[in-house]
Amino acid sequence: MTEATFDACIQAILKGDKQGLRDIYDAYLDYIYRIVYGVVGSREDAEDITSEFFIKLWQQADRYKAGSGHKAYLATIARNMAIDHTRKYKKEVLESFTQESDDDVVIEPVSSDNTEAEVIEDIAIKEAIGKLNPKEQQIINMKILSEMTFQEISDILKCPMGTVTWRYREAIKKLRRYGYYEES
Amino acid sequence: MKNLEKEYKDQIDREVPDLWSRIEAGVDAYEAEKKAAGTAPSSTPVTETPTNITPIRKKNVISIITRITAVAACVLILAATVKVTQRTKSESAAPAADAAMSEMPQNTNEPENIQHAEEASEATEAPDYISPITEAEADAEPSNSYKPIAGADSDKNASPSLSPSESAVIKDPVTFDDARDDLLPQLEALGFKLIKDFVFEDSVDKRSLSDDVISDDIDIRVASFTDSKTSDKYYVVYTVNDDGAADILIVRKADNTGDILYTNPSYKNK
Repeated sequence: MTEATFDACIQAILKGDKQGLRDIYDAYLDYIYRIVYGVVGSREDAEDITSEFFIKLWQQADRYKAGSGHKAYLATIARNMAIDHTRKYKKEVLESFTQESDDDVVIEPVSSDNTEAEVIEDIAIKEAIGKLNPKEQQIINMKILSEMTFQEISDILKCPMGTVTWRYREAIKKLRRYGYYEES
Repeated sequence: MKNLEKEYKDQIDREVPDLWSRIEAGVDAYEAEKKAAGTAPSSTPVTETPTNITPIRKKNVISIITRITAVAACVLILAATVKVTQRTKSESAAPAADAAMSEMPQNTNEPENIQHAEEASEATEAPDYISPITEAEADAEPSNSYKPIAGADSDKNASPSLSPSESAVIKDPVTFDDARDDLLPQLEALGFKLIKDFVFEDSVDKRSLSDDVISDDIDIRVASFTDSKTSDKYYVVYTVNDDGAADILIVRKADNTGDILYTNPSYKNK
């Protein structure tokens, strides 16, 4: 969706025309859902927050400044809503990161089995992600699905950025075993 | 090898459910709630019926009234503050006299209050213009009390023998404003803070107002004023001393009671 098209949709919303919201929904539902899912890591929560996101867009359409980069605008709102939700209902998940000290991080030696030379299992991506530990899953989700930077992830999880990047690399290594590579 | 990002995003996208019915229901509920609250939705179509416009106007009118009320309240508070400040300043100018005389207008039937005021005013340093009411000076020869004109008997006991024609030699205030400027501070020291309608009374019976309290031989003038706090009218009987300044002799009510609120001891008929 172009900036002009999006602006037209916002104008339609301001006039009470639901079609404006419907067009934005059709264009960005997947994008918003992915971002939200990347933060909350739960289908049910992602559906709730995504629904709330579009209702909020309807309510606060007058706050949007035309031509200010609508995709980034939408992504920011979606991320903030998801983060707020996580802080509210899943505090314990975030706290597990804050309580973790660098001493707890045990760097596993990469054996020859962990190199690209190892046998690659051909399994579905969801199953592969499921092989990661919860902390690694969260970082992969935030980085890949929510398209967040390491600094943003570090801020949200209140975890040193070094730890975040280390966990991400470890997760990528594990996923390689299942035939998935990161496009740099 | 499979692209992690592409595969993962595609996988999630396939799971995205249709949320439109939920979103639409949420939007409808929001709009209904807004209408029920009587506020105009930001997204109200221009083509909506005028009934949706009415609350906006009402709200605007209420908002304007609220603002005007707030401004009026601020002005009133400011005016009250200025008034209090002015009063505080004048009070600090004559603290003892003020403290003693503050009750005087309310208790007009008891001239003893005047004596209390005189006693109290000795307690602290009072301004020059209330010096005639101090007891010590009343006993002694008052510096600004009436003195016989040149050529008359220097004995103060002889002063009552002065004829009215002689007393007429006393210097008059140069102007109305001069006398008023002399009298107002004295009245203020006696507790009359809010004086208005201060005028000279030429038509009243001056001598009857002196009520035999003041010696007949003293040339007297009369002015009147109103206490804006109580709306009571008062007569102030005064004379002009050797320096050409006005001295208050009597302050009394200008009603049927004619209660005397103050008598200058320096001029009292002995």
